[in-house]
Amino acid sequence: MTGQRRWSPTRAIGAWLTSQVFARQLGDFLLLWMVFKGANAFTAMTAGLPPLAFRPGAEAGAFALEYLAFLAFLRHDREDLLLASLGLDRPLVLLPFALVHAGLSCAAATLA
Amino acid sequence: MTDPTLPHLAADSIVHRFGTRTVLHAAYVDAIAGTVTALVGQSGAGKTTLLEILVGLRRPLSGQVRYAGARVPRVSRAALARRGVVYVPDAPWLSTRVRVRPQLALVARVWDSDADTVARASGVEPLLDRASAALSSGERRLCELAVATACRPDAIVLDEPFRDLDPLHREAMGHRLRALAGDGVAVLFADHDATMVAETADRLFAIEEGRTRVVSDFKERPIVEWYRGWSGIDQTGRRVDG
Repeated sequence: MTGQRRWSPTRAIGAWLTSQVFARQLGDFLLLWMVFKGANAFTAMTAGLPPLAFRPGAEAGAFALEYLAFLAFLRHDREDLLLASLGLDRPLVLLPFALVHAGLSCAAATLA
Repeated sequence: MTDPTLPHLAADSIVHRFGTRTVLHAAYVDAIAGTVTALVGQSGAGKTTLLEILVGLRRPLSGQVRYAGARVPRVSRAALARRGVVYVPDAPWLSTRVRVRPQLALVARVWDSDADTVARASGVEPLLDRASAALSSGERRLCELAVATACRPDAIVLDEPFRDLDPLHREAMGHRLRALAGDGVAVLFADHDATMVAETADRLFAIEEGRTRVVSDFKERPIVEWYRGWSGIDQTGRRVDG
């Protein structure tokens, strides 16, 4: 049972990204992105700016809030401990969601 | 190659304080490969604190923690898993919204273990298609142990694994912990269940007034006598000392 255990970040992330656990987490994150995107767009409109434009500062702020809310979801659903048992530290967990956020925000800005 | 007789995990000379109250004074606990070690003590004696210090989740005021002989600073839970140490806290730690099977499969895939073999050995096959939120305490504890086992740990540290379990689940948990030790895993747990401690453990540490001591005659002498000795309370609940 023990010994010869090897941990590979690629395998750990690959297994997580193709799991049901990640699919549920992605669903949560998409909801959070929509909520914060809506709030961001509303703030931009009231300031007379294009609502869906990609503004790096605003996007970074929105992502920070999304991620904090997402961590609260993870804790609530006990998935922070499950991810830790995969050997995944917070920065590694953050990475795919940062990419999803940036990709969706860029897509929204392009479509607008 | 590490010496298998040396503790895989050890917390030595640990001092810890909550506010002005010192809960641990030069406490020591360790876990040795292939053995089951238990830690007992009254509620509030500092068992969970000592376990959390041992697994790097809490920084002691002073003292040191060693993994496989190497002194280490505080580590994250993820870093701990990568070091081959799995901590199963007394609170639930499986996802509450995904069935057990995909969680076990995910962990098994990362650590290259066989989910079916682990499930069979852990006796949780009938529970795999249920959400962990729908499991009883005993079923959940066994599933958590199965997932922890799928990490192929060198050491496993559990906080109150027998709590709230019915006799059958207690027996299954004890059997599973013994089997893990048989596979060479260093098993350490803290619990109040004197019967299961006596049946399951090879070694016993007791915490009393923030200090630990090795109890060698715990198989012969009921552990509850130790508790009475520490608390000064007899079986009727009356204080007998002082």
